[in-house]
Amino acid sequence: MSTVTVKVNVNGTPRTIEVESRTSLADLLRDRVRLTGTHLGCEQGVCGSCTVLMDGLPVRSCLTLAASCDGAEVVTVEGLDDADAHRLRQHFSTEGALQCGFCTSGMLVTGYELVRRRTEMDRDQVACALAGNICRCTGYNGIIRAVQKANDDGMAVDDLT
Amino acid sequence: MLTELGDDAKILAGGQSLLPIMNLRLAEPAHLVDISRVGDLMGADEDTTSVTLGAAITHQAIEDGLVPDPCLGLLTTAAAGIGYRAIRCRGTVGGSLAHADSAAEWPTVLTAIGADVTVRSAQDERTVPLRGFFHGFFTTSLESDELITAVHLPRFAKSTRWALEKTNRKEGEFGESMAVAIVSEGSASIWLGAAKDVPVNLAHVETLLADHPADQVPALGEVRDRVAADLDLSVPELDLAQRHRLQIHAVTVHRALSRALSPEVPA
Amino acid sequence: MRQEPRLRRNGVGARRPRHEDERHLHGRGKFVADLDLPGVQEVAFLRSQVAHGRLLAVTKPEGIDESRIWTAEDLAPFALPLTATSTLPGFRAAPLPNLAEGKVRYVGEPVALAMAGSRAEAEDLAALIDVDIEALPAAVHIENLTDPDSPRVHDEWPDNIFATTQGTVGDVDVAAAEAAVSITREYKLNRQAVVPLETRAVAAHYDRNIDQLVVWSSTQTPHMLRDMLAELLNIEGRRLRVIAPDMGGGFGAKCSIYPEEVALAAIALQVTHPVRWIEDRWEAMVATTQARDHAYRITAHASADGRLLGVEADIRVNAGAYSVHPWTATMDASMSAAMIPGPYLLENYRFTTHSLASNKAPLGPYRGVARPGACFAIERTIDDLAHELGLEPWEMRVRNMVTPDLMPFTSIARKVYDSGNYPEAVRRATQLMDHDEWRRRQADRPVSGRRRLGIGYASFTEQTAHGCIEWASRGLAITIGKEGARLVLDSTGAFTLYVGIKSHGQGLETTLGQVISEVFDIDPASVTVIHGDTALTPRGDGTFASRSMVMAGGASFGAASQLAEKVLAIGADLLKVDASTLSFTDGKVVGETGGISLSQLAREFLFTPDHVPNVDGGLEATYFYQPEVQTGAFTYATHAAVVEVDLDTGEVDLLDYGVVEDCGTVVNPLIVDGQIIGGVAQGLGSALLEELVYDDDGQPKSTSFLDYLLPGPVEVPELKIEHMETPSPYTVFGMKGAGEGGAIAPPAAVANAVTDALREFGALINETPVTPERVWQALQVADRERNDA
Repeated sequence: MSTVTVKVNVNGTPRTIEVESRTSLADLLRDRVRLTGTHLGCEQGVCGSCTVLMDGLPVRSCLTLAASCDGAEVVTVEGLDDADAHRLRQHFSTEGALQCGFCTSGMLVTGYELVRRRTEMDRDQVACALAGNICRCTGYNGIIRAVQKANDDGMAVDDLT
Repeated sequence: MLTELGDDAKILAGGQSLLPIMNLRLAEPAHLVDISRVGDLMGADEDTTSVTLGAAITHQAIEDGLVPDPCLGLLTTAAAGIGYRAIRCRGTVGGSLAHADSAAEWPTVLTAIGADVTVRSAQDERTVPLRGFFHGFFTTSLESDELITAVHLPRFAKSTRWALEKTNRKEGEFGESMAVAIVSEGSASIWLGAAKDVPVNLAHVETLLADHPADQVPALGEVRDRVAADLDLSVPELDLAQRHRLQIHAVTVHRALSRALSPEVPA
Repeated sequence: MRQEPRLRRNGVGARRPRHEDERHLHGRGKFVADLDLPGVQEVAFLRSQVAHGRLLAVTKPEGIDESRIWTAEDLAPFALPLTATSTLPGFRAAPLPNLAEGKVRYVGEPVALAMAGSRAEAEDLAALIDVDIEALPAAVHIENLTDPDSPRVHDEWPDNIFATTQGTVGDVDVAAAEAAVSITREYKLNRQAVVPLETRAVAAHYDRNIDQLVVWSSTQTPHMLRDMLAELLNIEGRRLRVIAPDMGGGFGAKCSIYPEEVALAAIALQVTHPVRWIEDRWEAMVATTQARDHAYRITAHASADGRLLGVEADIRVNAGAYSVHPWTATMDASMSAAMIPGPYLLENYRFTTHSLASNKAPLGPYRGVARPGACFAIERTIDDLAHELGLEPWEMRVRNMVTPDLMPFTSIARKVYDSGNYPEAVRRATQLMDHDEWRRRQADRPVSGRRRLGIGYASFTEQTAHGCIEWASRGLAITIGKEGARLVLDSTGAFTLYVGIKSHGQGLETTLGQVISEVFDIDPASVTVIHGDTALTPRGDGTFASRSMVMAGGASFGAASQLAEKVLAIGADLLKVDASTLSFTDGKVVGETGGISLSQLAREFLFTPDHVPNVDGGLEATYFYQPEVQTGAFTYATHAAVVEVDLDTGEVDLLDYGVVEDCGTVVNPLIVDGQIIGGVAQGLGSALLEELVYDDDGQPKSTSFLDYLLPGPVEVPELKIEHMETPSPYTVFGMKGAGEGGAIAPPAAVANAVTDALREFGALINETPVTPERVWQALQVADRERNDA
């Protein structure tokens, strides 16, 4: 099995990692960087649990080869750390947006990119924007409310940095 | 490189269709050539009559309006309807065309638009109209040493009206039916995806429209008969399940026509 | 042991964010796949690709280290297969092999396994194993399983019947003779996957230093797993420790004993490194226990004034290839038979059940178990009877329900309905939904239009937290029914609660903390709740059957009460007052003249016990709890759905959904609402989207999320929820279970709403999921029938 060397910045830390060519970004993060907050729920790109940010945009880490990430900046749930992330977490907790916690990482990352766009959104738009993430526990009501509130907060304070 | 590797190699142009298959071990290519960051394939050019999009442009770039849309919003709408945002951030327009799934947006939409693609091999480069490019399930006129480098889109006239309708059971899923109607002065281009292995030109529906008073939407029954003819279906021979599938296509086409022909409702 | 709740601001009844959230919101949860196990070998199972076949040979590849591949022959000396038998008369048992031997009986059945440093390499290796299977015709569809010429799943059986049961109460024939209207309906609930988002996961390591086999499993039932592994591996329980770390949901899919758990545990004892298997999604869709697959034939009789006089039920359940432990293959059928009478005053009832074997994956528990089927059968029937009689369906319900003055009420199926006001829940649901307004809008729709509105209701009783006698009545060899809790107050004055229950995502670390707070008036977040580790916790059966809060809450309250008594005695000694004058306030023991903090008290007692000579040693208490009545505490609810149906396509849009429910005393509204909404979302999946399709050869056709559609954010509307809170007289705090209810009614409510929308056409929606194709076909069939008539 051939290997490739990947230079990738993960949550602000530059890393150089040699992996088998077939290794996914998810496996690189979980097995090699030991960041296990990125979860694998289907490995077919449907459930969204493995969503991470790559150069600021959400991607499925299960459908992204580590080799394709050379030179990229990757942010995982463990690396979300600013006012938007804080507000998201707060609302997730008070709105009942999580139960088992398995989908939560992907929901947060997806929601984070959404609120960082600073676009006004109603409930339906938020629901559509989260449609690529499956939660089996909460029935989504709390997740949608939480993301919408975090979005409203972000729009109101305008502290995008 | 593709010439050397031949059939053992697959081009990775985002991988949002290929990786799921590989994860299931239904495809195990010995070599993958990642073109998703080849600068030459990521640019966009425009002139007064057309726009050229590099094959590695992502759906998200189109969705977010980072490249020009000469089709009055049809491209942006189509891009935003592909799967989910995290898929759109990796998936590329060239990759989708080469994958050639008729239920996906680009094959049907870009065929309806009348787009061409530039196809390049180590030795050669040619321009191929998408009408005729798709041969069957996941097969195209691409040779194993060729890759799509760009898509050429004609500019719509300002008066052009379009509608893209997708019927699916769940938000973001592949369509059970997808109809594109592009109507401009005196002509209509109507295509149907997810019905057969390749996008289908609804020539009988186009004729129906030509024979119909302008701005009036034909009745659903009429549309259904024409769609059946375009799909080579003999309605009396269909069982209930097949009739329902035809019905879904007919309704999807009818909705697209209604939107494209209605002067009040902006497309 | 009754206790009135609501004494404390952070105790029972407080709406509090969950203590679990912090770790999950930072990606710090630890699931089995996340465990760092140095030297671990990852396991890949090789599974049958045919539904039914003779297993002729399993051949290992040449030149590969033999110990990395295990076949049934390799495993047999170290692990017995599990036979989930039943005490029901005539029950036919068949062992569930750990790795297939002789025959394969469903696609996905494990045949061999391979292990390597990574899962990918293990799969590479597994692909080299040569499996020779002679395919046989498969027994697949519920309609055909009892055909005389059906293929037989188990060669030694005369047919495909695990068991048949029947029962009669009253006289249905007399009821039929008296009835003004009698109808017969056939219903079908197709097979579903359970789909916890975290798939199953098992790891095992034999720690030679302390002679302990540690098995980590994403299991709802760690103690039960420990017991069964000890039996099947033939080792003493003391050498076995099962740990269930963070779990990404279970919903019933993770409370049976699985071959993969047995295989990994057995192998770990034979090798020097840890082993781990993380189920992939394909495996989860074909090899995790599945659900529903029920067929009903119901005949019901009613009087002209809308009284339900009698019901006959023929219940068939396609239970799959094997009976699973401890639930057995008759779980669904027997529960369905008992739950069909629902919340109604029914005097004449006759049922027959058939639990059938097929070449599909084994059926296991799934949220609601058989109740979504039973609810569908009776509630669709009530609506059609009401229609025949010209009554509003909700009115028909109200007229037949058990009324509050009859509580506690022993149902025709001998279940004790403990408390509540069933008709009131229906009336409130009509108000919640603004029923009359929808009826008006419905009538205003032009006949020429192509979209119709419909409103539908479904009511049910949800048996929760049932005890030993109930499980015994269903034929279980293991009669579950008690939960243990141990509460420890340490020298810093902090509490640790050890519970036998397992929280698989429902927030028990929070709610059980609230129970402790109820007694000691402390911040619930300051209680560490230890669960899911057999070496640390007192015995408990696990989380299923909507039992966790009632049972573990009762146990925790019992332990807390005992410990409280002791703490007060210590306080009395230290403060030199009578214990009866002391109480707990804000982390202190206080009396009229003064107080002492729990930390001072604990320090004093634990470091210098001689200062408190009159109190026995130890600052902890253990308590085992079971509710007073063993048929369970009955939660109940009425759900209502409003739909719009497209006549041209059969598409159903869910416009509104409401729930009026009563789960007794609510411990934490945030969590209970979460259970309801989450349950409804799953129920809407059953109602509209989710279906495991098998072809005639028994090949599963929906094995990924691309073709097995789960409800997403767009498919679940913002729910309207209204609570009634009638405490159960038989449980601590009056709590009733709330885990499953949400999932029970949606299929019936949605099907009733769609049928309501289509009444003018006479199309009946009698099968789930209610797909556009089924709705459209029902319209075509109704159209044809009208033309024929």
